[in-house]
Amino acid sequence: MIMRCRRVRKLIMEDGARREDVDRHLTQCAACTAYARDWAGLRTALRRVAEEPAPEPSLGFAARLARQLPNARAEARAREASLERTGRRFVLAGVLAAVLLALGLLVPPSGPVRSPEAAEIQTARSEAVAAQSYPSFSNQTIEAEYEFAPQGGGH
Amino acid sequence: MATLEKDDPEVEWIRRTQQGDGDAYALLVARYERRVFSSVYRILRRREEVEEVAQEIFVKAFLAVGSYHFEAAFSTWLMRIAINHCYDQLRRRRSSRLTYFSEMSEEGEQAVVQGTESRGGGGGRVQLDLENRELAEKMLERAPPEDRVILTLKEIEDLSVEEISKLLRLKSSTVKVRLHRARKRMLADFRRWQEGE
Repeated sequence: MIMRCRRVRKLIMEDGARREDVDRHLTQCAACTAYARDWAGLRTALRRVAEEPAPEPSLGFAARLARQLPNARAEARAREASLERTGRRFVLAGVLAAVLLALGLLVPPSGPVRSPEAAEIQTARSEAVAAQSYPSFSNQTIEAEYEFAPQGGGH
Repeated sequence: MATLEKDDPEVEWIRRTQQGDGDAYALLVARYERRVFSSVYRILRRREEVEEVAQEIFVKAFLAVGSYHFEAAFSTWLMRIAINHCYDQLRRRRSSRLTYFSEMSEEGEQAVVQGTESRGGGGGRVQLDLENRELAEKMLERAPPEDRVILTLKEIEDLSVEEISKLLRLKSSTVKVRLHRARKRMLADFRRWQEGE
């Protein structure tokens, strides 16, 4: 019964002539009759809405519009050009990023900067710099420090 | 090509417009302005916005006229632009809007009730018709853009399913399904309001 009602309600909403079996169903089903009545009421209401006149174009609408067209076209072209410029910049930035990435991947790891020899040179250079910056503990310094130590006080 | 009379100058106007002739376009505008105004008003339902929106539509069509290849009637092509433009407007408006009576705020619900009560509150077929008309109008205003466009084209503009399918570039079967869903949703709300009255 429920399925039947659902089918009938669907058919009620469809355009075209009401089917006989739907009419038969309506004589026996108060719920679907109410549904059909409400649908008819809504359609009438929508028809009333449709009767309301739309506003008319003001006098000279077409001529005024035609006068605006050159400006509209110029604005559209400017917009297009701006979009094109932005697009070109994006493409250029993309290409540049791709080139850099490719370079990063393609340059061999055994180049002058990355080779193990270079790493050794770099380490040696760092050590040399460190040696210049900090005082070294040479033998002389140690002896000088022990100059005032008690003589012959060894055990 | 479109169904045009043999000596209809429209084709010539379109070709001249495609070459940038604004005067020829003014003739096309004059031919279709009422139709565009009517559809814009019926879909957007804001009298004060109609002229401005219609102007935007005609400018958009002028800028796109190069892409018109006489495959459909010029009126269909133009109305497609008009409907899409209205649809965009509705979607933009919709961000802060509510749907139908069942989703209206208490305030919105009150406004509908007050609107119908202010007319004397019941009594007679004419009064009921008037109340229902007002309610249907409010419901259309609050319907989701998709429902609103399809219901307006069918129930208000009285277009056939085939005409709607051409305008919306949808299959007839899709139009039928969408139309049925939209009708069902609207009727459910219509009934709900009537029961609550």
